[in-house]
Amino acid sequence: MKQTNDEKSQIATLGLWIYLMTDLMLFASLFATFMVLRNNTACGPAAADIFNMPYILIETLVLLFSSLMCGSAFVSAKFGRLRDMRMYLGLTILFGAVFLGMELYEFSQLVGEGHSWSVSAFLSSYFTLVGTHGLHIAVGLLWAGILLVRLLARPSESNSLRKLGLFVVFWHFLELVWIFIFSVVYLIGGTI
Amino acid sequence: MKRMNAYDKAILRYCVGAIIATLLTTGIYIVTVNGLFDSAFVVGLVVLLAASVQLVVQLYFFFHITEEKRPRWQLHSMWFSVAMIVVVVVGSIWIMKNLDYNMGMSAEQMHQYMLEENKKGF
Repeated sequence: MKQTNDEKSQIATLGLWIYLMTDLMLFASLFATFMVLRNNTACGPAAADIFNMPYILIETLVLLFSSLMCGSAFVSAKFGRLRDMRMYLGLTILFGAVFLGMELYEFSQLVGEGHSWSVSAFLSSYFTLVGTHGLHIAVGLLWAGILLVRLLARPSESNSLRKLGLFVVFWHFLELVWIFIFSVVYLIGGTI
Repeated sequence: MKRMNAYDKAILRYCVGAIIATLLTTGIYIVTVNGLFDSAFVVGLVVLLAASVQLVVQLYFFFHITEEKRPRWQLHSMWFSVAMIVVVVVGSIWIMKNLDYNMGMSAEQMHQYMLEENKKGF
């Protein structure tokens, strides 16, 4: 029995989805670790002392915009507007890279001020949770970059929609995880 | 006014989702950073509630979770994950809070306690 393109796409999406759900378990355990350890500052700084809140808000909105561009790229691909799709995918990568740059700059600032991961259990769990998300973003950028190069080289490839669709789900997933990092780590951690 | 075509409609749908998400994010940011609530419990509750609303909004507008055909494996596996996450996160916080309570002595008292235990020998 030969599978249609639509069936293939559904199976591939479900496969990615199962991976994302297991990835969610990884993030859940890191969230639990952070929640348990966030008051164990070992005489070091507490969350409210070190976070630059307006900076974090801008970072969050940058990632949200990147997510919106990514969704638009998928819609463009679905309607066969390849030029729009390439533009939107390019913007997705651009804003994703800005987000990652902002996160790395924040990390370097913290370490530069002497608040590195070795200071306290709170900072260890903070760097592990946010760093794991950053690593996912870096892998996502690499994925999107390869996708863009392929789409530029072979624009008429029939299964490009499916390939783009998988990346889009991954990127939206990372945006959702960030919403919870923003809420739990920065808003709750930074104000209570 | 000209009727919108399907392409613009689909793009607009994403934009509506993004605008709601932006409003939720900025709104909850302003409320918490300016300290509109005094109690830590209320802040935690409101922030988690806003995050959950945002979760539903993004699942609807970005993931199109309602458009999945039967059998809805994505939806089912998601509910299973939610159950597991609740067990892991709430369980960890609950247990560690109780452990902290039972370990509730100051560093000085702990030092003294360890010295006394050491005197007894191993």
